[in-house]
Amino acid sequence: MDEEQKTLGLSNVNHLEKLYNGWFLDYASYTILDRAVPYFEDGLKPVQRRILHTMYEMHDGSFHKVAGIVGDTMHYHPHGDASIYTALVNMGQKNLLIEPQGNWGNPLTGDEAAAPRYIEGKLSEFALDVMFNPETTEWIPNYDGRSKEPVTLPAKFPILLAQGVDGIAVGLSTTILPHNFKELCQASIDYLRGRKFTLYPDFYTGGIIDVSEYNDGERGGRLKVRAKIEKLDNKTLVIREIPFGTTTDSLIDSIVAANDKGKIKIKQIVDHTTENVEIQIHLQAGSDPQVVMDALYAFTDCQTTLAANSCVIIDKKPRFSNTTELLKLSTDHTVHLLDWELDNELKHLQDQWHMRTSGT
Amino acid sequence: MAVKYDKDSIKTLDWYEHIRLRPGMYIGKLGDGQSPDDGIYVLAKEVIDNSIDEFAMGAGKKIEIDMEDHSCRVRDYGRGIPLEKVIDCVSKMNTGGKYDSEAFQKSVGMNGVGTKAVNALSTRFIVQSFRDGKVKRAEFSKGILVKDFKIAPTNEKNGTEIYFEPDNDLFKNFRFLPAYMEEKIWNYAYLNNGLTLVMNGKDYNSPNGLLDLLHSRTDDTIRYPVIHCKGKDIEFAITHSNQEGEHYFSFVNGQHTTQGGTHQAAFREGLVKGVRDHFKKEYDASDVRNCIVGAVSVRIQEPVFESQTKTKLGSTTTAPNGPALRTWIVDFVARELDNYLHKNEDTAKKLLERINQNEKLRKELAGVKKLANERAKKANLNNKKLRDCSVHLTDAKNPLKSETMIFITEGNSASGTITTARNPKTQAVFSLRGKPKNSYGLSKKIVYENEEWNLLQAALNIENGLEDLRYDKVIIATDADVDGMHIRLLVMTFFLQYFPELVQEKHLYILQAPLFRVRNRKDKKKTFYCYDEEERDKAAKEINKKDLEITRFKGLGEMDSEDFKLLIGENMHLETVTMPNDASLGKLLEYYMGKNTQSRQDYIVENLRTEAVEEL
Repeated sequence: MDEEQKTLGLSNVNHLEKLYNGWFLDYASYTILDRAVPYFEDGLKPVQRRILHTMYEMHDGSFHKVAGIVGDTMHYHPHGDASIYTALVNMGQKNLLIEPQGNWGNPLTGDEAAAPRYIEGKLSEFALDVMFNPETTEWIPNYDGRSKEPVTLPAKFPILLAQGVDGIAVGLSTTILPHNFKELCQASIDYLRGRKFTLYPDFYTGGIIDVSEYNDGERGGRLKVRAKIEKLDNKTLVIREIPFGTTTDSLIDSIVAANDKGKIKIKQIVDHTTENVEIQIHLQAGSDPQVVMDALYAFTDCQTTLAANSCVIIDKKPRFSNTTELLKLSTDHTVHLLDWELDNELKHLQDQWHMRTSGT
Repeated sequence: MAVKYDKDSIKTLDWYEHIRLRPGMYIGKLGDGQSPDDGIYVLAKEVIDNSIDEFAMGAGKKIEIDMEDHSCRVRDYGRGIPLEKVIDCVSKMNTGGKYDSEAFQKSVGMNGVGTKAVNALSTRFIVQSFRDGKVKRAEFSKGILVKDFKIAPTNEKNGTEIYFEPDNDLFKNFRFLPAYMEEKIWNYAYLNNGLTLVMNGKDYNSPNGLLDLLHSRTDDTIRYPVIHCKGKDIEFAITHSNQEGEHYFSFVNGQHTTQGGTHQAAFREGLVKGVRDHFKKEYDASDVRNCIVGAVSVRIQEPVFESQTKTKLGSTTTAPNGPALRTWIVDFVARELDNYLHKNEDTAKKLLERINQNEKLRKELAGVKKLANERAKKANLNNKKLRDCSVHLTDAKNPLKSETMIFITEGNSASGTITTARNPKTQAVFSLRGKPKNSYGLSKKIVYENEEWNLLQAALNIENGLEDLRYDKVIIATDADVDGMHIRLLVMTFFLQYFPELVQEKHLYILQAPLFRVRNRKDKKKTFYCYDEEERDKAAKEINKKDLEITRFKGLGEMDSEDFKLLIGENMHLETVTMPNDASLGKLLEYYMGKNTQSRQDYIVENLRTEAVEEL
């Protein structure tokens, strides 16, 4: 040890503190930089990036078994297969970068995906279009030095805002909510044209949001999310959209729990969900549907609060950002990549042209 | 061919050659000064000890210590070594003034080795003795006299000055960190009322002895003002805190006995007796002692220690053929404590509160323990996480008992190889599955409820204190990667919270993994594991360039069991875990293992380690 190690200085020179400090910083740094927090350039955590890179290497247009993808990803990700599988299924369920085949689970109901030997996946056309280009990728050796992996993927789209992310590291965590694909495109255009834009989250689960405390997704910002409840008749309420972060199963559980505690009184609750949510709540005779509806929002997960905390890695440091800044950064990065691609194309064309002319 | 063995084979080493050949016998480990128990601090201590002995004899109230990066000077104002014998005193074995028990009745350094060892292990060693207007000076290098000055007149006050520079060949790249001496200096001050030590210009003195010591080790959460009693050749102080376990600081003739011994055992017994006598109730001993912070210091003639490093007292009498040590201490402590409690009813009341709380806590635990008992029974039959060794620390007569150790390893990393590579007599293995539970802030129930922690406690046999500890060394042997660091934090936190005595008495160690692996990529037999750059470069020369492969060493799981034998054999690199010398432990654990705070987040972000991550 050449340099004096910096510690908190809880006590004068404290051997124990030196040990704790060193191990703690090693571990905390790892969870932040190499596990839980996405990089702003491509909006991916390391495990996600390594999965996509592996799938790109495997890509031949046909579907591949998830078990195979997980195994190959291990060349780059020296950790357990379970963590890779979970991350892969998670991306597949978002149906943006990965085209799933088979039972990948249902985020609406909370049903789990089938085992990795059953299900298959391949990169979506969209992913192939915007996520990869070996010529504009910076590479580093993988963990055993036998091959190379991308530092970040050259993403020409605000993937982070489209997919959202959730991560808990030591000392900090990050939560970025998903956004609407078209709105993101529009916001990028607005930004490039110098117009103002405002982005709010958008959820595949639907629901109604209250953005008054959202604060552009900055740390401390909050978002209230409500289920969409309709009155079918005087004896029946129907939930057609659920708050983000819940599943039909967990929502029903919370309603049953509130009923058990006597907070609401209902006769029966039935799940008719198909690809659309439909939970029927049969009321007890004589109860007022409006009162029950208010009670559902007050005492069950029909209303939840999501805390925003936009933390990303910029320049090897975690930074707390906001939605607007993230979109700008991503758009600027996209422009930079497009410039780079055009430059490359120009070079290729010039080379070809020189080849043709020099021969004669 | 038979090895020749005739008269030429028999050698007598010069005194300094022997010390240099086997420094461990004299000063423990060598080290480079990065750990408080490294050898260079022992050197300084040996020199200061002699000055302290002068003070104890009533000569000189001040000792000056100047510690720089690579040298140390100690000046006392005692009587000075008799000028004619200055050279003998620092360079002739078995020479000294402490053999006659009259002159130096109750000192530690009785064998006349201390200063000689310092002399032999230093590249430069200067001794000066001032006596009645005359000075004698001599200079040595590695124990050999280089300059013998004639006795000359001087204006200096009486006393002795010793200056030394430790040998860089032995203490590789050493550097003195004065802060690591601070604890020792403070201990000298606590134990020698009236003495002022001046280290690098800062004064250390303690008017109230052990009382001051306990104040420095506790904060305002203690349950009642420190009880402090003094008698002839014996002094003790106690209070109760909120920290589980028992914490003791015990001293014999000014020597800090970190591993306790007979005097500490008697002290603990006396405390219980005193409390029982006072309240006239047979309280459970563990209820009386839980959460105690106590210090005891005794002076006895010709103390006997159980180890070379003098950290555990073995004496059973107060002097050769003298009265029994145990009864002397037990009687004194019990009597004085009883008296004190009579005089201070407030303190007595608060002490009783703590005892009652301990009792309640213990009975609560008893419920949980019942459940855990079943598991414990099974663990007795076969502790499924433990691969035990045949000798244990509790085997009183076995000479190997102090070499016993247990490795706490990660199940999916090195458990298998460490098991095959170990010495089944003295080395046991305990394997963790995945990451153990963070025990910070949880009640002691977790020790019983969590299977992993429960089995670990059963393996070490420390449920009722350290007396029955089954291994001398408890070694955390995790990988050197980030998850290994995390597991170290979790295991250490467990011990520090529920079994701080284990750390206090220096039983807890970290196995240091090599930094580099140098190998011939085609011939596995030529693989070297290196702990520093120097070793790495040396090993690299052994292998032809074409097949050379140097990698950062990552996990213990990368090693074959053959390689592992080297790692945990004679040249095992261990780092001792030492307790902080103040009341900072609680804050430390809260900060690193407790809830996330804004200041912690800022601290991490500011001190982010990108290197560690890149090396994955």
